[in-house]
Amino acid sequence: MSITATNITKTFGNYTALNAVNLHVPSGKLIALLGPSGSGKTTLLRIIAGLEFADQGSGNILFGDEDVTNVPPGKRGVGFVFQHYALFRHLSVAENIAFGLKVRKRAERPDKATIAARVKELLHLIQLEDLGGRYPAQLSGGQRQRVALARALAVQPKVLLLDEPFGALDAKVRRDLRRWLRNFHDEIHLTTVFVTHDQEEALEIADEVVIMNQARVEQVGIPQEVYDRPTTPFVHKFLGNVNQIVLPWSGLIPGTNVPQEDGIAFVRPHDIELVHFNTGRDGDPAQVVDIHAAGPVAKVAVKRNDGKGIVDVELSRAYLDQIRLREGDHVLLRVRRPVATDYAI
Amino acid sequence: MSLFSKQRSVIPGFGLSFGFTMFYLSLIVLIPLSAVFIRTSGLSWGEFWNAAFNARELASYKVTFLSSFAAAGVNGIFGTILAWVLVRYPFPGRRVIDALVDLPFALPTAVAGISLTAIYSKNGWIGKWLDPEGVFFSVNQINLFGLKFEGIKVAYSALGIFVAMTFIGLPFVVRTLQPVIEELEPELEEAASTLGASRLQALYKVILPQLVPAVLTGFALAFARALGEYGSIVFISGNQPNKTEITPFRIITKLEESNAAGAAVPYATATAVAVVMLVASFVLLFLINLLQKWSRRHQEA
Repeated sequence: MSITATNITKTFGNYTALNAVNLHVPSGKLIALLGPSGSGKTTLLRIIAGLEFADQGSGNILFGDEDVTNVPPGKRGVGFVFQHYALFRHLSVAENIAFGLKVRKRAERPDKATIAARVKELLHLIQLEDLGGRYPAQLSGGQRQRVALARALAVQPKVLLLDEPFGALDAKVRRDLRRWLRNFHDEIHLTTVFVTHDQEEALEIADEVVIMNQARVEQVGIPQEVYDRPTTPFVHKFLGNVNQIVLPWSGLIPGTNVPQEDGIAFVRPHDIELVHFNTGRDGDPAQVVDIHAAGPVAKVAVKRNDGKGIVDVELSRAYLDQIRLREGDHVLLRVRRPVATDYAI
Repeated sequence: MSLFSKQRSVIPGFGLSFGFTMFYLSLIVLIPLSAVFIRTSGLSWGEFWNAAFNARELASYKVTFLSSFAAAGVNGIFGTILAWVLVRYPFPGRRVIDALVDLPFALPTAVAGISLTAIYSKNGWIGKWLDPEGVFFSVNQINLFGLKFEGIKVAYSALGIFVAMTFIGLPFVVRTLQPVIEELEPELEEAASTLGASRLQALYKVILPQLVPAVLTGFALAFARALGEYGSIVFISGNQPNKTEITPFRIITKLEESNAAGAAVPYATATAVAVVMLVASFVLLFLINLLQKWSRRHQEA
């Protein structure tokens, strides 16, 4: 089921958390709300869930064609997963998952056997078949998060909402679990919105990324599009590393009229070519100040000879070994492709 | 061979502080308590029985334990509500009310006893509307469906004992519950509501079960305090033999009698009652602890 939020404004006293935000989530997609803390992404998610209400008269929320703006959370058909899981400590894993079914009114409540079968099915889905009898305190963080997900899915929600679902987990579990979520989504195709401040996470698993900043949506697009063609300086700085190169720059910058008098070019570290000074023909002269060669990609910091700051360059290990780069070497830099030049900042 | 394995520790001085702890505990707690048993052992079984289990003593145990239990129960319920309101809702004057909760702790118990008696006696602010001999019931009678209602006596009755015990026990429940409620994340209620639970279901299926261990702890503390309470009760109870004499009052009375009569084993009749009280309280608190452990079973990782 698609989600449409129109013109949502939310203020807390003097603080504006959301400023006339519009959002459309197509049915069956996995969408990431990405932004720094305080950007309003969690507030938007909570308004979609009905845990928070937009300011009076500001806008509405549609699930499909149905207006749910004033529907309480329990009746919206949302599954919500909290950052810190919010599992019921006094209930076992199986009882947690069954909670949403057991609290239904007698007429709508499935019988015991049906509930038990559903719990078993969900335990299988989250790969915790044998742990139904455990209490949340006896599980690891990743297991708890999966139980929280199963509990939300048990009521067969129309949309699934996840608030920083992997925020409290360590790096390895985080990577495993987000890939698992992607595969899981490919199986069930439930409309899903998740909030994150981790750009890598959003770009890796989302069908579409909604980037938020200061109570507004900055850009919406598929991951590759927002990474390659950021439309605002904020998105630029927020998504991946970027060098702000102060012009003029000796050598060609594709898509610009170089040499330029002034301005700034935004260039990603892997879009810069680096050669030894004596082997190059053209380029901006600079000197290597630092080499970080741990991992598949070497990170090299170089200082421009004209004193216009440090530029970060990413090179493959193979290339680094081939040219035998050392700290202190004089080099030439060439821009392969800028992401943008001269935003009005 | 040392009793405890030697391990290197960043915090030195375990031996010294442990030794001091044991010494202090013995001096303050164990020796006085054992004296109660040693004194009592001077009596024969028959004398012990006569001293501790005659009709008057039995009546005092009954009124003491029942009133304490009822008072702790009432505190368990209303103290929980009070703690909930103090933690969850910001309202003007919250800090003042929060400070008021400690008053029964801080107040000399005799002051509490005198003020309660003054209020609930037949001429007191509340007592005159309740007492059969007060301004209201001495001239009026309420007739409800043929049942005559002629007022209730609070001061100088078992009800008065219960009122005083409720007064002094309240802070124990509130102060035990406050930190627990503070730790209860609002997300739990939100999770329950997104899963379709009503407010009432969220309350009795999610919140209350998580508060039970703390409520039991508060109950146990209030109960123990009420059992030992003396100062605030002796004024309001009236100390009528076989009716409103609490056990601590019986112990004092027996001490005085023993002094006056020059008994063969001084104080032994008083310590006999004390032994009964001690053992009974210990058993009860032990049972409550078991109950608590059971209610916390899911917290063990």
